[in-house]
Amino acid sequence: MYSTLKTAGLALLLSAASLCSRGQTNCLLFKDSSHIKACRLYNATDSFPQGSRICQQYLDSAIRICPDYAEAWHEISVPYLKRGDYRSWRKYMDRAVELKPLAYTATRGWCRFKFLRDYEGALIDLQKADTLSGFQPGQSGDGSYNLYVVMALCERELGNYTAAARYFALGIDSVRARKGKTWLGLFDYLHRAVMEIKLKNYDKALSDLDLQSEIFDRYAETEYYRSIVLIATGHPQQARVSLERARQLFITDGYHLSDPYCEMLDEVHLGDIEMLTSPNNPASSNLPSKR
Amino acid sequence: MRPIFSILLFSFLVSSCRHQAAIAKEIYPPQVGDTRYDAQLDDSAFHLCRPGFSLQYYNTRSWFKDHKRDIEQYFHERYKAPQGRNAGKQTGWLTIRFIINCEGRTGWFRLSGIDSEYQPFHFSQEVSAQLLTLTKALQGWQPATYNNKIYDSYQYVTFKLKKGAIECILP
Repeated sequence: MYSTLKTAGLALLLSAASLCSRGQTNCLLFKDSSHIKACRLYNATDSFPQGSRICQQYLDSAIRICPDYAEAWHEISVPYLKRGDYRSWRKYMDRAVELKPLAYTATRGWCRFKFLRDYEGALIDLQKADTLSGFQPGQSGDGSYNLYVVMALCERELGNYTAAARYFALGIDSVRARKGKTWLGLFDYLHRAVMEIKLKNYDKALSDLDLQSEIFDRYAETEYYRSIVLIATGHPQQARVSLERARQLFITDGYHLSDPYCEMLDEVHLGDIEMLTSPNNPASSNLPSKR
Repeated sequence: MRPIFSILLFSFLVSSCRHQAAIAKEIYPPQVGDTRYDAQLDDSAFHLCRPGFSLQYYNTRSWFKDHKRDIEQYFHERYKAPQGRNAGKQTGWLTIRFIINCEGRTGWFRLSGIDSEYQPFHFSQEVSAQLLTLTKALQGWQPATYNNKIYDSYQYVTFKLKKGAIECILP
């Protein structure tokens, strides 16, 4: 009995992080009773662990009572996505998009980008969301990115660098000019710097990495990619310093790109940093030996 | 007459509710993505430490995520992409979901595939059996830990495939 209680307690504790953290909907805004009932069921799921039977049953009931309630269709889809059942996720998510394209087309695109690396599919959704929103596509589902930056990343990964640069300009430069740098995402410059490295535009890459350091100067990735530029431009001593700093930031301070669900684009692992300093790596032959 | 009618109505409602609950139980497992033991598929020696209570990989620090580079290298070095006419159709996402038990052993592997339109898709044996065998053979898994206690946990590996070749490994 005690162990059952402990397990149940742990389940509650762990699932607290997975509870639906969305805001409560004001159900009284709806005029018809079916929407109001569905909305109340939807709100009630806030207190259940995401993906649990009771949570899915409540959402299922909300959908049965009011099949037009897009929020419930979206919410019931989420645990399938997080647990790798993409077919079921799409089945429910597509219904949410049909019912509320303005609200959910961008969400679907963002999820296709993040969880499936479906860059072509994500771009179709995000471009449609851009049009639907009157060219104000907003932020990604987790709030980390301006969706123009996500579109830039999709184009970058597809090798369409001109289109990527255009979206980066919209998601970074235009936002900074209009609203200031506090509105930028935490990793925007870093992602653009990686594209410039791919294009061997090392001056532009360094400039973006400097701007990235202005936003936040303690990501291991910034120093890692800086070291790549420094190696490529013949500054091995400085590259060694950057790599060591990257290693320290990774090990000691623990600041690096990370997401609980997926590997992020341009995320660096400790092994990547060590690989660059490995004697077996041709790039490391340009590095001075460690003292 | 009225009491009899009330009793009948009450009995009907109770049985209807039970029926509905049974249907809902059929549709929704205790947790989305739960796997049941299947004697035809699963190793009977594999056991769960806490049957009915397995975490998801994202509830705690994930060994998969921490060792993703090694895992990618493992698959890229061993996987042989199919050649020939049929390879062109092998495009989509192949997901292998399994449990890492509290001893760091893996079991209860389940495969699912979708094509580029997110429709169910059966990858060829050459692709799916090979990736399943490699995933089963992958060693070194560590169990999920929380508050210094170890737990069984679900993990999945998704292979994004283009014409039979691994484009990337998720999540």
